[in-house]
Amino acid sequence: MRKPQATRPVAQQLGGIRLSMYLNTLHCLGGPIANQRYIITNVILSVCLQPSPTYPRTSLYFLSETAAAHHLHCALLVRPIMLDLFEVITTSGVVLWSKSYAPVKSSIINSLISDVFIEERNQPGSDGKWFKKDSYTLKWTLAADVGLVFVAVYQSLLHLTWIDELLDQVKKLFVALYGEKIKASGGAKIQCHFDQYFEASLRSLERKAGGSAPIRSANTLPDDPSSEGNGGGLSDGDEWSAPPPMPGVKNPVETPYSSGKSNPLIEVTPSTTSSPVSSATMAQALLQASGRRPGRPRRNRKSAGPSSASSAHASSGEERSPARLSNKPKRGKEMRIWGEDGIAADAGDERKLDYSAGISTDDEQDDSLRPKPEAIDQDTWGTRTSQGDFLLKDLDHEIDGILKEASKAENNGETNQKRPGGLASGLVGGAMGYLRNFVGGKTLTREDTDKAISGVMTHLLEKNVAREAAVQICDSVQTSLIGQKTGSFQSIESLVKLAMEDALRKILTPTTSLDLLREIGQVREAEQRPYVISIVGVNGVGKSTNLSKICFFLLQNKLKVLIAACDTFRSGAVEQLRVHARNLKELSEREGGVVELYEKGYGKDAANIAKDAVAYANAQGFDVVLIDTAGRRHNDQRLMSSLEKFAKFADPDKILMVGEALVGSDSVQQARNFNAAFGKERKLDGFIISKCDTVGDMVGTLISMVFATGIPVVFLGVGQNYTDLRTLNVKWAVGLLMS
Amino acid sequence: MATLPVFEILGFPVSLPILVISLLAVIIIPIVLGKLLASGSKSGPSSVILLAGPRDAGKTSLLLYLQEKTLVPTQTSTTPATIKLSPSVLSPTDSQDEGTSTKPFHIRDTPGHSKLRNTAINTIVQPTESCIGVVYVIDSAVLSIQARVTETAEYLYDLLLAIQKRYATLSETSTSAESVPLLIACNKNDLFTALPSAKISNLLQAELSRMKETKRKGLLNAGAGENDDEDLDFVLGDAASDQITWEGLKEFGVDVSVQSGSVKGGAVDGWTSWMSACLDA
Repeated sequence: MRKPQATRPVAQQLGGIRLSMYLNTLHCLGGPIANQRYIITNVILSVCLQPSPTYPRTSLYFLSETAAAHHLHCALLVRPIMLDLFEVITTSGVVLWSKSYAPVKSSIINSLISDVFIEERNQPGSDGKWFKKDSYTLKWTLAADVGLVFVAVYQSLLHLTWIDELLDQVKKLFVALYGEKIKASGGAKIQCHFDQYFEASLRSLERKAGGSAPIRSANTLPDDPSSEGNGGGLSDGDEWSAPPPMPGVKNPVETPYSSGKSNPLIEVTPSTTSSPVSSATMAQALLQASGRRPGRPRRNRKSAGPSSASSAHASSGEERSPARLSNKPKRGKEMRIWGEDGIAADAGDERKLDYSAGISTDDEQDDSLRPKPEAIDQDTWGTRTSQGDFLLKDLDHEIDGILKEASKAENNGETNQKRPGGLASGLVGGAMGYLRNFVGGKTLTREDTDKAISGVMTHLLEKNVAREAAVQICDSVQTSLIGQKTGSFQSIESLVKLAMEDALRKILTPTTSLDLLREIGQVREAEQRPYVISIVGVNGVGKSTNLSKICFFLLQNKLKVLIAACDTFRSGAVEQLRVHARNLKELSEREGGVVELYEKGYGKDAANIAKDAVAYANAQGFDVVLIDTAGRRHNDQRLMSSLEKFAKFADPDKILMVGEALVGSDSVQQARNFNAAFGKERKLDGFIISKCDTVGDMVGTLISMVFATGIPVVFLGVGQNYTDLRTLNVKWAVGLLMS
Repeated sequence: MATLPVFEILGFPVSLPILVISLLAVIIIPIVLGKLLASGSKSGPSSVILLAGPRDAGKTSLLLYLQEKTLVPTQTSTTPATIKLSPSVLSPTDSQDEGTSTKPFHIRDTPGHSKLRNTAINTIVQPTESCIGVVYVIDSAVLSIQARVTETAEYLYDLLLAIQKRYATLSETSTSAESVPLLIACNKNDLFTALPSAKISNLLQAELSRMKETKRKGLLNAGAGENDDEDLDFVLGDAASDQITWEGLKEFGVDVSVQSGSVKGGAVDGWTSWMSACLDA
């Protein structure tokens, strides 16, 4: 491990691309020819692929010169890592194992857990398959039976096609290796020495992707020119075996290379299994899309001498190196070695590289230096190789075995369920299964729960839950149940019902404090300004009625309330509020509350009136401003667009949307449209569900609206009187829904 | 071939093997069923210390610190975890003073996300569940932000109310009801912005008082009065006054203490000695 710092700063200069550096022994690259030249290949390549190369090529020359000048005796490999972080977490929050290739804030995964797993808010378009945060994309898979979450984090710029496969493979491996231990530990930390398994899986998948991905990548490149530079290019290259191809590879002269393999004297040689066509296609796409350096001279083969074939075994202790040796024949792409000038390239598989020490014509290093490192080289090379190979083979076999077993077990489970082997065993199995239905201890599969789930779904639909919401809730409940065991004398139905109750409770439980009085007090104390609440909703749902109910509640608490009549459209709206204000004034005189109506007639811009009302309230020392707005249809763009301006002008502390309990499947869309109407920064703060007294126990609208948006229910309207306003009691609502 | 003896039961001829097999079946089936049942129904763990608190306060870290004696990376929990520990983990690292009891105890870590808080509340409210102490872990470095104080106090209010309810239910049935002590563990005091425990104690008492006041003035729950829930007239502490103090809560079976510490800095001795006091009690 000598002088790893020599190239590190240069690597870090390449800001756009994250490079991790690995010290690697010479033979890991396949032969004595592979030295720091290899680094240079990768680095230059990376820069070439950058959309806007901020670092001129001269700096790269500097790199190569530095490297040459130092005569590093170990091969430094600059590895563009595609994965940033891989973590295995228990549901109780313990990070059992993690592998980080680049620093990632832990809040990234935390927000995945709280948004997707707890609050079940999938990002639009993700379909619950990915999660984007900052510049990262997260993918995950769950192992419900052992309570594990596998999360992979990578830069959103990269299109990694093999992440799902990796997650799946790692999940199988991890569960097979540590599943029992985890179950026994009951949520405690256990020691996992998983690094080698993970590296091997990652490697094999990358290798696989290296062979097949380029074509796909070439297709996607033109779509996203900004990402192709470091995204498409890097994601395809298996950085151990082959650097991504250079722009300009597509060239008639390229064709001889493919046949050049037979001749060891030709330095530029693709590996046996590499597909020059696909890499060329990709390179062409790169070239076309980036439109950079079209006239760039082709790679200069002459000067591609393997300059410093120094031996590199200083880092022989590194544990990862053997893994890299895996499956030499499977190498996906040719390796290129860059000459001093940064242009010349040399490609060859490791076998070629083995010979290259003998045949190479080093132009910048004096030959006297060469034999000595070579001798040392061969000495350690052999033992190390055999050692490495043995270790690797062992590991690969083990992994294969585990995966096979896992898939076998899966298949067994399926066939067992469908068609039991013999008649006798079938009978016994059937009898036991039947018994377990009653006695408990049955491990649930999707098929087992189907019936119970569809029953619960019908029940939800009968409770007026919108179909969209019901389907999604049932889906997530079903997924969470798979792999669980029924308790003693617990039927599947009761388990499903319990899980559904939990899910509903989770949906309805608010994440923020809904204590309006305390918030008003805090705002008054801290900021000396009125607390502004505005009320929106579809026509005729009871906006003014609920506003006056809230007003009455505030007045009872001796607050000074200003009602702003911002419904300047419907005739009679202002008069209606005036009646309410008069009534409330009479009612609250004894209590000590003060209420006033702020009105500016009809036809004016509502946003301006709201703004004026807030200013007036501020000047007059009101505690609360309640803004009534015109009812609008949620699917009418013209009417909805004015809400954004309204939110900006009035800047309410709370925007509450009134929804009828009577509304059926439209509730989801209403909630979504209103939630999106206030612009990017502003969202709804809560719902008021009105007319709850008219629906009895069919309070499904509560669930539909909250589920669609993740916004809590603040109030329920339960009658015609001023006092008929309630806060939501989650236990009560869940009880009604499940009754 | 000797003929097997044939018995006659209720007029039916029954051969010996059949008789033996049926007798065996009669004996074995209940045993098997009983085993199946016994494996399914485990009685809840005894001597449970509950870890509760808002998100990102360090509950899971504390738990793992007690278990592993090192800082283990954690993420947001979504499920509770109960871990069995021996009392020796609570004794300070340098002193060899073993606790009086050597019976293992359990620590239950609960998720802090506001949607998942009812696991902790349920553990306390159920009088059948064992709960010998509650450690309310809070992040003392964020309490300079009012919103976080509110969040912290809100969860604490629910927990204290649950403890009070448990005490009330237990004292109805038995004369010597044991109260559940609660420790407010002000974690992360190694950070620069961390407030001292005395300050936090005052902040939380003031916030709880305000919370009690607004709860009293606030609207009724939906469904209140329908199935005459006993939650209705249940307020934390003294019904006559809105002021909440730790001393005032004592007579309602809520014993609160506050201690600073830091999992990251390894300063958990105060908390562990509190826990061993719980175990000894």
